Amino acid sequence: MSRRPLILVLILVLAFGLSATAGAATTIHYWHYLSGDYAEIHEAMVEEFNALHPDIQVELLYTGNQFVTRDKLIAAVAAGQPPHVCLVDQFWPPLMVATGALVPLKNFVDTDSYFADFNQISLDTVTVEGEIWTMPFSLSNQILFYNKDKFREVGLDPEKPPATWEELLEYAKLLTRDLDGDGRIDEWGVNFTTRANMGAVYTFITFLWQAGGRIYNEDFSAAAFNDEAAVETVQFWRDLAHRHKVLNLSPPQEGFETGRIAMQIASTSSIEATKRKVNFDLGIAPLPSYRQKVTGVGGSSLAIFKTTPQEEAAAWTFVQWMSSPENNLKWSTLTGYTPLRKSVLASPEYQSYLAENPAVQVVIEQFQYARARPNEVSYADVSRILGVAVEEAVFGNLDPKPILDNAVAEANTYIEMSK
Amino acid sequence: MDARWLAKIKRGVIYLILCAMLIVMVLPFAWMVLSSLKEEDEVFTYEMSWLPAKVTFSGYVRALNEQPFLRYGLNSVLVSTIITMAQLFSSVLAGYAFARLKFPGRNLVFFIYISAMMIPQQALIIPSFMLIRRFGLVDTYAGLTLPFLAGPFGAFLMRSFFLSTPTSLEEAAVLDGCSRLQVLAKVVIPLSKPALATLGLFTFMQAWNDFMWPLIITNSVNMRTLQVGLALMKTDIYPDWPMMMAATVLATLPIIGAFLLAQKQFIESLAFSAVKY
Repeated sequence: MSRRPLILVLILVLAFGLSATAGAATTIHYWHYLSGDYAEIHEAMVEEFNALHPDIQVELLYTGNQFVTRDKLIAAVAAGQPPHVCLVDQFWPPLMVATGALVPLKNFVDTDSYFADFNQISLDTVTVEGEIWTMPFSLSNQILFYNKDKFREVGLDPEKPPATWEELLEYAKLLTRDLDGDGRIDEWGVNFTTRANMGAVYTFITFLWQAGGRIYNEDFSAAAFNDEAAVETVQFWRDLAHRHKVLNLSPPQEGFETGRIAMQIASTSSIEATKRKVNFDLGIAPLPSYRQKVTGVGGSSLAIFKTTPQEEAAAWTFVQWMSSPENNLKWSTLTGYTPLRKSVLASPEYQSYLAENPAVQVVIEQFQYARARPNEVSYADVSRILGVAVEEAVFGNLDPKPILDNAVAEANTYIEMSK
Repeated sequence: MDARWLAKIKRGVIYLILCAMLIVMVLPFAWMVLSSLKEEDEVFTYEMSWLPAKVTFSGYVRALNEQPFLRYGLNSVLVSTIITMAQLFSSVLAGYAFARLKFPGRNLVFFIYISAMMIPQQALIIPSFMLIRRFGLVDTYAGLTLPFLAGPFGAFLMRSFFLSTPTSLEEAAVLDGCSRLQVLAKVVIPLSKPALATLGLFTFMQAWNDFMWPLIITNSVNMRTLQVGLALMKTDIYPDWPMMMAATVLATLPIIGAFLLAQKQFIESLAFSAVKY
């Protein structure tokens, strides 16, 4: 007798629960790490998607900057509760593929024909072991930011940025100045990330490639970053810091933006933000080069994680929409990121945008020299070891050769394990 | 005479060292407070300046408006308080049992329990996450607090404290007809205020400052704690430093409050325990 109300309540709850799920849209949890204006543009795109797709509801969650998001994502994947979709940085896919949590895009579509419109470099960044795993979303590369006012002050032509390593050093020497004569340097010539935990390796491998060096050997069976070119590259960084003292190993925070550093190597993704931040005449140039012209490629892509077929299909609809020709055009012109699609690059709308933004023109011209990082499963470990080795030699002012030899040996054990 | 001079010099040296340490501790704090009162472009000026050119509270306004900062604060208060209360409760019971009750295998059980202190939190995060997920408690207050309600450190601390106190008062209470639990409530706990204040402060600080667990276990904005909110302010490109510093100042206030509270407790309990055994 007394049990009856309870059963009634249960039936009611079940009935409501079922009716609620039957009519509801598929919810897609989407994590990202974009901030500032980019985040607003991006959020507007997601809102538009939701408005156009009543059967799919994308719930956007900012999960912190890249470092924080990666920690959270790895923990979530390990515990078996990843989001449906996550924005991932260019070098995460191999790591994510290795966890087995990703859905390869060939599950949804014939990738060869679907991605025919995408430029090769954007596909290079998302291809692991011959398969496309994530949807390219944004594409950037490294450029040289420089302070034209400082160039004028030291008598350099502000329209002639350094084109070679030699010029980079020469200009940096002129731009590094002790202004008040107290024996301490007040303005530094050049800056780029030199600390391993801040991603120095991303800049380093670009220098390495420019010198003709490489990370892996031909068939990716062993590490190869201890040859003459690699030693020369580390030595160049070491000389910038110690012999010529034009590179500050603990640079002032926002030193370039506040005029304490005259040249800075950074990603094209910060062009718009830097433009707004500085109050001097900002110059943007292709990277200075050495034996080869190379720039490193960065950017992010959209990863779909294994859930239910219905949710995966909804996620696929969403990621396709984000990199559709219309949205890729919108994203590229609003942010300064490089178009992913050949059709977008060739479109009259984009060409007129380029005409109005000569700085972005530099980026596009440089793009033919862009090179993606190797998408090996071992890359995360190999690049970490390389980064630490470079840091050790540069910060410790030590002979690079033995340090690189040791690092190659250590990297080889990881390459071995990943096979 | 000589001995007195020597003592004075010794004291002087100690004060010098203490002052040096004080400066090391206070400088970053002062920088944080002063930066929180600056305009955004003034934090990293060419010539480093300590004092804001013009004091502004706009950093605080942005901190409170741009994110649900008060909600984060409420979550932090709730989570830290639940964890601290539960830890005190469970640690007193466990510590008392390990110190006073006689049961077979007591020391072995205690040894195994405190061995768990050797396992770093990082190694426990994924298994705990999986467990909480199985319970269906991801993104809930229960999920935020459950793994921290009891712990070996608290039991260890309380046991050590109980072992160092004489049993005569408890025996007297038993003779007067108290049960075990009454002895605990009426004699042991009032005498344990210093230990409880220490443990409470430790636990509260740990819970308040914990970042990794709340980061991975929360999936909605409304469940986030202050530390997660602070970390999310540090964006990839150009963080708003005055806002971050303002938020950090606000997030530090409760810890300072907890310290002052515990300090009062320490002094009071010292006065109380001036009983001759």
